[in-house]
Amino acid sequence: MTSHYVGPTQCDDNEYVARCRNGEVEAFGVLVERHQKKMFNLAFRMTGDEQEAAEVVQEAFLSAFRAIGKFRGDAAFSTWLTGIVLNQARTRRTQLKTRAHYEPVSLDDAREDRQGNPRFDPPAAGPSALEQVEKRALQEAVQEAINALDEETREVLILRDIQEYSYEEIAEVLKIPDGTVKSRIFRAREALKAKLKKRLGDL
Amino acid sequence: MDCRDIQKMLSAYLDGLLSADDKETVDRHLSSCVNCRESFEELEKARALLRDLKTLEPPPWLGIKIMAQVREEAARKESLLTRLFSAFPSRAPLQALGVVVLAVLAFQVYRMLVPEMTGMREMPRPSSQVQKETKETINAVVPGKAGKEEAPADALAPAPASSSLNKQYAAEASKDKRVEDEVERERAEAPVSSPAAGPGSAGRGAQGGQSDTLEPSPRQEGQHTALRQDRRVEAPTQEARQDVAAGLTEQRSQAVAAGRAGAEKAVAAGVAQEALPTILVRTRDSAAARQVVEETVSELGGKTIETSAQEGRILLVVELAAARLSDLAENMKSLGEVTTTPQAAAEAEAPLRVRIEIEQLSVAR
Repeated sequence: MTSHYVGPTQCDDNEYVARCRNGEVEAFGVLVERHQKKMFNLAFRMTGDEQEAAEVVQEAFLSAFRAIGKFRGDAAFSTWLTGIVLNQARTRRTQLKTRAHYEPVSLDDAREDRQGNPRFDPPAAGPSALEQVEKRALQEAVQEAINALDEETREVLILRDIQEYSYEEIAEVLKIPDGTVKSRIFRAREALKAKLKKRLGDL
Repeated sequence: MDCRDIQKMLSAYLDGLLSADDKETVDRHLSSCVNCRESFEELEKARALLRDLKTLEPPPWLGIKIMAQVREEAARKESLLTRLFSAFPSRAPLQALGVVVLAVLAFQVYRMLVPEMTGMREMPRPSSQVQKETKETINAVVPGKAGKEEAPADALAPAPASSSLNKQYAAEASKDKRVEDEVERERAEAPVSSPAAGPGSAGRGAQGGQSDTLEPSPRQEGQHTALRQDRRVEAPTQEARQDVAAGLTEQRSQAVAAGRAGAEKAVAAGVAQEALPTILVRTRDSAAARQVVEETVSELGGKTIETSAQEGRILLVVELAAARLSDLAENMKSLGEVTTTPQAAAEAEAPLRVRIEIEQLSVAR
């Protein structure tokens, strides 16, 4: 199982899942501790907003806890959890669309948080100040390009090229056949390339 | 192989998924074709940009908040389970009891609904009626345990934690059907409990997303989706349950199916209703008061969704912008003594469903 983060092994997770199913609520806390960072980053890249990402992750963990009795253990816990996080992000995205009538929300404003406050800190003084600003501007442009993709495309791209899931794992998370994963990744990368070129010029 | 074919393979090539032969083909092509090489380099750069994206730290309160909600959820499940199951040592009578209680509850709710379906008129107090009949059923099936089954509504109060209870919960929790029963019971019980206790479990269930009062029912549904899927797997048990319910109401066999579907909807609606903010007013002339309330609501830009009457009490469900709620309450003070239940914060202009109870004061009180 490839992972950006020094993460737990599948075996360790299953032990805590079993304990949780036995009624040990605090065992779930270990699972939260282990996976919250990865899930938060996934949610953040999906939604483009830190506040929203936090809420998605909370709801997802709570859902997972409620359904822990049903988790079969044939897939890895983190795979199962990833699916729940993506579902949650999708659901909230639909709800946000309904609410947009009252309170327009733009996912492309990575530069500002929900209250309209500028997100970046002023650059520290020093020789690398310009670099810092440039780097942040670049990262925001990339996130904006991601936000501009449609949901399906965004999911597969984030799973593959940011979180580095294998093709098999992605097939499990999204519950699609291997062949579909391959073609989606291909199209997603092409789409991202196009969006990036629009924002950054030649790559 | 032309450039178009090669380009289609570049993504897989990047991930090292091509066969040895294919890889070689692409290698050779790239060494001589500038366009394709450029395309490939762009793919690499795009991926590098993604990989370089900063990894964020989750906010420090995230794990704490999650566990707080999780513990609350666990306590809620445990108290319901132990209340209802701690009396029984073996499982078989439990399952039978579960089936019978559910069948009776479904039947009671259906009976409650029939007058409603034929139009608005006086109904017997549903909550006390169902509560009474439920108690009678439980007492009938379990003689001698009658004392323990006092007020099912009290099941919503948290039970003291102890390791033996934990084990009880543990043993029960591992059975999917148990969780299912308990969820159904929880849903069925919600309209049975008094409004004051309502915000307890039903409220917590519906308040999962707090500010999202726009759609309490779908959220409730969403939370139970995982359980509902399991329900399909548990088909044989479900059918058995349905058979018992059908058996009870043989004379009205057709209406039972409709009634049960309606009952489930009503239970869900009932649950959602219990989580609504409520304004209670005690007045001398409830009919006149109702008119005033409806007029005020429409003046404030809202609308009345439904009306019903029980003995001595008129119930209204209205939809109103959250910010207008206090205006409505103020207006109602002219009718009599007003009590409002606290509500979760909602966006000011978002339409909110509000329950209004108009209680008729009798002169002799």
